[in-house]
Amino acid sequence: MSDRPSDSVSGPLRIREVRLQNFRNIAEAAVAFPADRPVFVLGPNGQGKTNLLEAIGLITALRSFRTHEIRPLLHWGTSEAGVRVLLDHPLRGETEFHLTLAKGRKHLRVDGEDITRLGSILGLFPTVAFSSQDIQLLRGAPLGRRQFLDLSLSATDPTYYSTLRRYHGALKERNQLLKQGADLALTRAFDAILLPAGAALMEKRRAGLAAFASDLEEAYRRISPTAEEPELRYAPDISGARADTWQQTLESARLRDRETGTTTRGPHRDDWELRLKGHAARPFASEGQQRGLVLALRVAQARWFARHGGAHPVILADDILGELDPQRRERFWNALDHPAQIIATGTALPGGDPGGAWAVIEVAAGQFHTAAARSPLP
Amino acid sequence: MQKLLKQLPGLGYRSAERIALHLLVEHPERLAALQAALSEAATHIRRCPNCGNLCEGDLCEICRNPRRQANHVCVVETVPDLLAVERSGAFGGHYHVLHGKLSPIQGIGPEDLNMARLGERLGEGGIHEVTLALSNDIEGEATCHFIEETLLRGRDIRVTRIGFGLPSGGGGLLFADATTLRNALDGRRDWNRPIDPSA
Repeated sequence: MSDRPSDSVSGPLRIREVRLQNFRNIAEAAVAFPADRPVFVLGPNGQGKTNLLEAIGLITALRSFRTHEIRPLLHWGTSEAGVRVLLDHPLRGETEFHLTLAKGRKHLRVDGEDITRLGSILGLFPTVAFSSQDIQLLRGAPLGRRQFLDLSLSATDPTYYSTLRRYHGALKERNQLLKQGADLALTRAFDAILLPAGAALMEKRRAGLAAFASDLEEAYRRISPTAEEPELRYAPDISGARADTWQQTLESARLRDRETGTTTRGPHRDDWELRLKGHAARPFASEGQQRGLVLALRVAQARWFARHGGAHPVILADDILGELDPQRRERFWNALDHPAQIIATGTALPGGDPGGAWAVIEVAAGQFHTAAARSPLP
Repeated sequence: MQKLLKQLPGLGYRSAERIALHLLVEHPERLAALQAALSEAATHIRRCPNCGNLCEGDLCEICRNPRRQANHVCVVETVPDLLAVERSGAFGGHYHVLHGKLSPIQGIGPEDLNMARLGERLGEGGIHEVTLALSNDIEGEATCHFIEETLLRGRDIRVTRIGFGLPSGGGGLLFADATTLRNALDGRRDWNRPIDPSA
């Protein structure tokens, strides 16, 4: 964002070792990652490739890129899973991340110290996961797009995250009051928190998306050979994202809010959209353009973390390389031209060069074995 | 007995068992004294009808004390909060204990709090300043807004809120989280600079 120095990054975040216990189909595993080469996790489907990537992805926001629940992350028949990740952080140096997952509960220790506030580590260990589900960023419900935006901004602006928490905390209490049919004075007491927090969120989202757009344009230029300019447009629920309009809207929606028992208007219903050549990409862009756009979104997110956070994010490419034709794959590597560590998965080693020979880790039935180094196929 | 003890705050299964055995087996002579103290407290200690603090007589010690300023009232959530402010020695006025804060999710509304009495006290006159010393979270803040809107609006009373910022002692800035630092910066005050002799 504008108030932060850009290009402040000192180096890439690197995963050195991952130890998993009772995580999905993996009863126990220790996987070491070479420091200087991209890693390819190779194996047939259903063996645990994505599970390894998913575990690594947890270091960013303690949230899986596949599910919002904890239960599916636990090995069948067990009640607790452990994820230990040994990292090299460009500013902190060697860091141990240790997350314990149990039903409805997460416990994090970083270098042996208990972390009780997510806000204090958000953005510290950036990863960007590329997966075939990313197309939902374009085609899916607004929730996924809000989460993309909220994570990108929270990881690079601590006050964004605290404002978001305040907003949602006040919203939850207000909705409870609406369900109870409580009197106006009580609802207003929570409005007094909701209004300024919501106005601050809208302002930060507007500014954040405008800044993010330049990263997206750059990423799309490198991925798509055409001269099309993608446009990122904020679609706030409150028109103009203005504080005064927000107050008036909340006021005039009061009756409906009471009837429905929920806050019907506000930044919790915000959205954003991608546009290409002046048209919304969802209905108008071709299949290929849409795939290019979501790929560019993730590349842009990686650039965003690198420019505004403290480290180049680890790139997690879950089974997407096989989907790209050689030309696109080449452009994809080109777009990721920073020194980030790359960890990819697939059923077959892809062609193309990510900047060095792949180190291959073979996986079968939740067991990982480091294979001899292989050069990319010609 | 162990089950009842376990329900007390801070006691788990093992501590409850230890206390029960201590009183029944190891030192049964202490049981009678404890029993007497508990029933004595239960019959004599009650809420101060004026402010909600704990008291033994008609009024609590603070409301009874003629040396305290009755025109300045500090509103707190709990009795331990009151005791904490008292220990600081920084406040010489009266208190009002709400016994909680508004939280619709936990089913706590104004009628569950010592709110009506606060309205009466303000209506009785003689109070010049109200200091809201509620916690710095969403519920605490909403409670402040509610008091302001329903009890204080239109009255000629100065309303203040305690500051939230850095803990005293060394290294405060380095170890403070972003929210605390922000509060501390938002709550900055003019610094009385020494007079510049050249000016």
